[in-house]
Amino acid sequence: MKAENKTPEKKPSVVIVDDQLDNIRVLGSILTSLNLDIRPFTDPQEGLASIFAAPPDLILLDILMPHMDGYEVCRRIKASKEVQDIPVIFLTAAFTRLEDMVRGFEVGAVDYITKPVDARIVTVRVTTHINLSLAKKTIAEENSFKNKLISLLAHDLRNPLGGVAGLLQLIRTEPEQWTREELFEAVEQMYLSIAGVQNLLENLMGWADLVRAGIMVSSEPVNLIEVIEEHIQALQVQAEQKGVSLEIRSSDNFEVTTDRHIIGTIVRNLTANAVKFAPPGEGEVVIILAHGRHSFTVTVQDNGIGMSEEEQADLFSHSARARRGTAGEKGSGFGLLVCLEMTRLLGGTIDVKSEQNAGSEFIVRIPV
Amino acid sequence: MDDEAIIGFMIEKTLTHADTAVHVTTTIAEAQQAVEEWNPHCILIDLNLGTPEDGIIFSRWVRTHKHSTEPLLVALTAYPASEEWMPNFDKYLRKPFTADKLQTVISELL
Repeated sequence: MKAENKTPEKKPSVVIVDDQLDNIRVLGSILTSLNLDIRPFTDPQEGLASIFAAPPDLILLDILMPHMDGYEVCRRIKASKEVQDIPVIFLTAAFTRLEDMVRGFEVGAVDYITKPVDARIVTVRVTTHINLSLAKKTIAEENSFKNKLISLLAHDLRNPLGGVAGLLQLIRTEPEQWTREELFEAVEQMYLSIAGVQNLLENLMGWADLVRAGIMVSSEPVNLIEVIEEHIQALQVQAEQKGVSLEIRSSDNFEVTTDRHIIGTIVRNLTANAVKFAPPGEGEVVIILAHGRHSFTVTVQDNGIGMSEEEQADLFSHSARARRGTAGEKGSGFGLLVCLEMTRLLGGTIDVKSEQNAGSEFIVRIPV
Repeated sequence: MDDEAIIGFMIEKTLTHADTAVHVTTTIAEAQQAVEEWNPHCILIDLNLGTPEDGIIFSRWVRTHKHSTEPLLVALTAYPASEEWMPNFDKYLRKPFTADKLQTVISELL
């Protein structure tokens, strides 16, 4: 599976419902030039069924039709939560009375196109409403993702910080009750919790930079082994505690020209995942650096639980759910999104190979 | 039962320092085993163990299971009490909670 430049955009879709086949033909020929996916229907019931089955981005609706008029079709569309936000443009005869046009707006139409249609008017109105519809959809998706993110952050910050605060309060109020060993254990627990919070915040800040498109990509000669060692320092402790070996393999001292912070963040996140899913006590995580003809690759391998094909397909999506690690470790599911966006910033790609119960391999390829 | 290691550790230390024997588990399976072997007087249950239903499912299991001593149940959650799950529990402790608050709740129950 490869996650690289964005997958080709799906064509916006338009449903046309008009009982006159000639009208559909004329509209179809105009809209074909706009690169739209057009679904024509002469039967309103069939049109409605198609709208509910696969919601389009825009609906062009004739008013006067036998059995069910356009107002009724529109009312049914607007009564359904799933499709009520799809813009409806009424196709109306030139002699339509003002009160009928108002009635159309009252049942939820956003605009009118008068028949016989003019190609320029159809093009402008359809393009405008498609663009508005797509922009609205994008905003709704982003909003829903941000809500999910805020709720996830609140949860992922509250637990570790609440635990650290509770422990500190306990130590502060009754220090005499704590043995030296208990204190060491408490410090270790607090360190791991704070390291987790720090990792989450670093990802969040990285993500915010990417979303604001304000991140500056620098290009400087770096020793990649040193950069990676620096970024995975905190992970070494976690790996050691879990009984997971963590090793960097490279044929030379690996000098490359890239952005130190971005590549470090990508490798840190992939390594954190590898440690999370490696088997406790017998886990092996290897980071392999290799030079290609026009690129360099960083491969992060683990011998962990791997992923099913469905999990791999959903891996880089906003809706992906974070899985628990093999020692019950939690995650936000956010690190991989950051990895993908950061890899794109460097003009690179991420390949994933995985097999359930056999381990995973993430290959980051960066052009030089 | 709490899958956040530091919360489990904090609860363990708070209660063991108050002369209460504590067994910490992080999964439903471990918790079921501990309940059967250990027969505790009180069980603190984190409601959200990966999925929001986990703790509720476990509380139902405890309530329908035969015990020599019927354990008291305390819900641990970051969310407000809900009619859906509150009837299964004797007390509810909202996260984040302090060691004092935990001690107070446990003293009231035991």
